[in-house]
Amino acid sequence: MRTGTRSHTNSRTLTVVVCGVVLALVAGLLLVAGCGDTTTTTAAPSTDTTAAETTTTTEASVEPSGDPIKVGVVSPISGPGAILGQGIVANAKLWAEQVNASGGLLGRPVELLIQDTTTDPKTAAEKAKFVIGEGVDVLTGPVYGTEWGAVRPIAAEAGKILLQPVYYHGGWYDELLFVTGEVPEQHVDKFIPWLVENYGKKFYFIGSDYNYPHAINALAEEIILGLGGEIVGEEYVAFGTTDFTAALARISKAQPDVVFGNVVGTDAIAFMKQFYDAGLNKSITMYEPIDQSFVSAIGVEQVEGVAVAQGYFETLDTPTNKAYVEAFKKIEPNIPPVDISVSAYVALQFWAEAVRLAGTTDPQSVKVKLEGLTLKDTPVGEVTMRATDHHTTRHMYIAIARNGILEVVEDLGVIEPGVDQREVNRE
Amino acid sequence: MTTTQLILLQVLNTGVTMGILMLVAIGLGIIYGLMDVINLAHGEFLMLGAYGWVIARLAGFEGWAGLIVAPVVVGLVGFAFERGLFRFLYRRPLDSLLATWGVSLILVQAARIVFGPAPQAVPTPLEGAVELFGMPYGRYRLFVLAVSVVVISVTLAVFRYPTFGLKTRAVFQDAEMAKCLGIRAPRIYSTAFVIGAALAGLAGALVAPMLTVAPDMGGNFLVQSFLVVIVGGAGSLVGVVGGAGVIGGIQGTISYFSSSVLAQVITLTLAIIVVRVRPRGIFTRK
Repeated sequence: MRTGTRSHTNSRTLTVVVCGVVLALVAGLLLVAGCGDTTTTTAAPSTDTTAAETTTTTEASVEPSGDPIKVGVVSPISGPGAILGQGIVANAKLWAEQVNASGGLLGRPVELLIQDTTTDPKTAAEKAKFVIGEGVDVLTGPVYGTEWGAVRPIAAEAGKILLQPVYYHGGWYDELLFVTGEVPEQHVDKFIPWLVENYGKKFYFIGSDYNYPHAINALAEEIILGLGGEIVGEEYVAFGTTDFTAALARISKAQPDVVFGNVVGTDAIAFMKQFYDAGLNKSITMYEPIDQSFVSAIGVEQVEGVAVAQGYFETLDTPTNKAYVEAFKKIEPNIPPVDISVSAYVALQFWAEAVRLAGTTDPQSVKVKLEGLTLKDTPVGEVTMRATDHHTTRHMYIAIARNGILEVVEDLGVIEPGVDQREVNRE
Repeated sequence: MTTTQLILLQVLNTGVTMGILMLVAIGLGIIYGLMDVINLAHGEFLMLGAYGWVIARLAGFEGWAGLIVAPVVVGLVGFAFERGLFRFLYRRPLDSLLATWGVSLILVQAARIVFGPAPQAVPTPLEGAVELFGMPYGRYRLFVLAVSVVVISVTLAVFRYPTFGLKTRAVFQDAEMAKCLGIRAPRIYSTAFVIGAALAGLAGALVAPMLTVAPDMGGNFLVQSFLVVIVGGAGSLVGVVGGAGVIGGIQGTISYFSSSVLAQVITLTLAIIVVRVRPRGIFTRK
């Protein structure tokens, strides 16, 4: 009995030790990641020739000198937004590396202040204040609407330029806010007629229940009805929906030609998988705003034939994009470059060009140069920052999933971001 | 497709939802009912179970291995946490709330670091459909339904019939008295905890091929399971199983006839009413 108790105590001590080690390991991992998130990265002036070749500038390759120009990247490196946040950070790093390799900006090196919002608006606000305190004149990086809601007033009050690369429901305007992300008008104006022409006139709308799907569906409906088409169903699902069988039964009953889906996040993955499992992909074409990083999560067979319209696809066949993708893969081999993250790269290119033109990083002077600025040759094609509402006129492309790759099938050309986003109210 | 067929289809699908919900909620119910620990990390046990497929694939096992790996791995993780942390929190519901919330954050971020932030695909181990009432129905869904029924029945039996079940129910009813009568409560706690965690792990592995595997997938299931435990009552397994039936059934029916948003509103309203009228749950006597 006594020996029994003893061995029991021993085994208990052992389990405590084992558990302690496991917990310590987990904590250690987190700590390492935590440090990685908050480091200040000075992209070292690189001698890498491929990186230098891809820059759009023609400045002589002299070593940048003097005080670094600081750029704030306040992005969700951890939390639900991590995959997009990490993509934005990688793009910012690539941008900084290329700028420094070609002599810096105004002869000075650029330095990124990378901060993790943890996909939390309160943290995003704190980090934005922090980088502003460190003396940045420009910041970018948030992904979720809640993060933007927190960062926008802070940047506006401090009088700093804020670059917004995320496609959204439209209607944001601040004096120093510059948007490279697309608005719903750009998604539907030419894409919906293309869908009608290629697949048919009966549409079924399904989306996550927040403002973007409502906004885009309202615009899409107008165009579809104008073309003599019809909406055979419209529904919005709660965030976190994992079982789409009820919606799929309704879709199956309505027999549309196109399912115009705006279910987002991991819900989209569940939706598309179950759509495929129910065999609906055989007779119905689906649109979903997915990017390449979703494809492996959904499955190659499951996404086959899905049509997507966005401002950027990795498969865009231009020399500039090919050089960009090659340089990006060296910085971040694990995350594919997608519309949102590449738009951040383009936004920083815009800002850098305006700084060169203004000869200073002073936000008010840069603003004047940004308004109406056109970049002829970016990974996404030609882009113009509209002077009136600070939104970009840019190409939209259609891609169809083939063998697990979103292949560009059509360039819809340059599309205006609506008439004037200052007139739009979709909050 | 006729209306009868559509209804049958919906009944089957609701059955699948209920089955998964029961598997997750049983663990939550046991842990709360036995030890007064509100385990906010329970959803993460499900998430880890879903990653069982990924772990199995990394270890070189294809096919069904994930379904076996998941409950074993999650059971072990559950054991580690029970011995290392949770046992110090028994009968301290508020402290446990804070601690398990922390554990939940740690597990989600750990998964994000180890497996990457991107959701991953799990191929369906059972492809294709069978003819059922003259309509095609996914074989994997039928399989999930069957597994849930079997596993839940076995769990109910284990807690009902042998000595372990008797002792557990004794601890359930009066821990102090049970201890006086010579029942080693800590061992019961530990075993019950591991069973609860393993069931959540199994549920995660079962849903993964129908959904996806992502670090933050546990949250939704946690909320649903809490509703189940609130509505059914944490005092007994039958309560939890009944609660899962009610919640799953309502959600399935309402989202079929209306929308999933309304379904959520109604289940939450029901939970509030139950808390007010029958604080110990619909299926708990007194």
